[in-house]
Amino acid sequence: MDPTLTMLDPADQDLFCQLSAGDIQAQRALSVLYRRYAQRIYTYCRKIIGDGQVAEDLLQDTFVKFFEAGRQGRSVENVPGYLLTIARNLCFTHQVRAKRQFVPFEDVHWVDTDAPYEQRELLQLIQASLELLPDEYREAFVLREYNGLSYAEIADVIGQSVDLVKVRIFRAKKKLREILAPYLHDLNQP
Amino acid sequence: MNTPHQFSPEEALDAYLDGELPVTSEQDLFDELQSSTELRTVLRDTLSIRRAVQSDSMIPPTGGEAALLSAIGLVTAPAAAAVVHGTGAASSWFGSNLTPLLTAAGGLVAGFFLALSLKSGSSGEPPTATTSSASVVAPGPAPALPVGPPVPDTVYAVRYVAVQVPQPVEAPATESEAPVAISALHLQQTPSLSVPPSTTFSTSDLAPSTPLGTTSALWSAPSAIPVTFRARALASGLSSTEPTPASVRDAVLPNTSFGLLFPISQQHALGVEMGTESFRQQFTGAAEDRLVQYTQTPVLFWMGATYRWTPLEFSFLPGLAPVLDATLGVAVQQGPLARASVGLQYQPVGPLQISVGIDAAALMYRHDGTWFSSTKWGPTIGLGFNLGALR
Repeated sequence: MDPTLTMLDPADQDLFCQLSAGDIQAQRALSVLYRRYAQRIYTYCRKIIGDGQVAEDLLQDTFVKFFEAGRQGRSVENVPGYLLTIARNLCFTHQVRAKRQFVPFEDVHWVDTDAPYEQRELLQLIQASLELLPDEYREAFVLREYNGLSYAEIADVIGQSVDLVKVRIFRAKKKLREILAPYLHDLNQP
Repeated sequence: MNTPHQFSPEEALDAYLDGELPVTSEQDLFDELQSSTELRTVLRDTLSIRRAVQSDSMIPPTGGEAALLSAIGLVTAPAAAAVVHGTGAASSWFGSNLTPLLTAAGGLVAGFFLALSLKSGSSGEPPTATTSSASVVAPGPAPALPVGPPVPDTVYAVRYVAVQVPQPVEAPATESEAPVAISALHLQQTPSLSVPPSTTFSTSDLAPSTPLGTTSALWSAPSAIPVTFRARALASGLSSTEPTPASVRDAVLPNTSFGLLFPISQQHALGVEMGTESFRQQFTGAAEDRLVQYTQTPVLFWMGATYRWTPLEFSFLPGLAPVLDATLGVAVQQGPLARASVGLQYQPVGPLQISVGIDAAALMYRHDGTWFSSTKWGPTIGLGFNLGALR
């Protein structure tokens, strides 16, 4: 094995253990883990909460809590799963505090990609449609489609059975297809 | 648990696409796909959604890592503090407004250099020529003039010095430079002077050369600042068939701007402008189980730098000339704004200027990390007061 590659790509658990070491080592380990998983956590927060600024705050809070756990010498086997669990709890707390009755103007989020126009339009509609889903369905869909977790990994993160995850994902997709049916029908016309 | 009969065709399809369908159930799904048009539609729709979702890259904020390290006390460098995002109102404000501010600053700098280049490149009006024309209008000893250095006033000086041609009675014959300067001005003002200017500009307000030289400081003060104050009614961009939005209806002066223009040569002027203006903005959101398209027309306050070009060579009637305006500014809490207007300007007598034309404007605004634009166009009408014309 190439020793350089080993140093550049250390295992999650090794890095997590280094969080309880000296400051310099902990900083390096945290930086690597942040770069490795920040996008995944940010995507999750952004899709669950909607508001970009809040998602940024929650991303930071997630890693702060993650770091504190590492400092305390806690044992973690699945680092991304653990991060998602922290993020999920933070999102839940935020939602409880700021329970929304209506999607305010600031919470409508937007797409900024190089994708073709139709795809961007569809993405905007998907994001708007996600707001219509029950929280648990939206979460299952985001973890599956945006974070790429398997049913078992999702079950692990949300602490529910795989069968329940399966049902939630199926219903989320079905509901999305129903909402977007008119648009998808036009889009997929030959 | 995952026996084939537990899945409906749609469930099986979703599970298959997620890599969660048992191999033993796959053939059933394929058979169903072959026979069911409806299921194939579901497949297409699901793949469309998946493709769109996979193209949706959520990028964490830049500087997030430094902010994190700073927050947990591992890094105390100022650089980390500079990129902390959302930890305070000030940093948040700068974070969301830095780009528009830089854009506006860039516009001002560009305008400044444009002014410099136009001024230095204007061969028709070198500073020495201005000095010589000043000596024409103020013959004799200079001390009577309260204005110390020659003011680089151009358009206005040309106009009113030329008016003096029919009244050369008091002009000293010994002044050798006078005929040269006046004839040069004649060339520039040929169309205007082809009509009898003496009858048009016969009032005492036209300030002939001798009174200008001997006038009091009170009178000469405004003429030393050849600035034009301008108010414009801007394009609203609103359709006449739609009701006027309440935000526009309730605004004090919607789609109006005020500006100050300073001449930098005969045809060019540079200034500042500010105004309130409505822009239509559209968003798509969700409310109460339905997709909703939000449309708002906020009335925004903006300010910026304005450039005006008046190509006098295209002036086909006395006092009437085409005019082109370009403005670059920033709308408060929104983003950069650019506008261009083209039309005609009429300044028959005295300081009053009237202009009409077509106005087009574009606003860039940012929402949730994404830039959007709103454009509009329509008629514009302006009223100006040229203080320089009081000379």
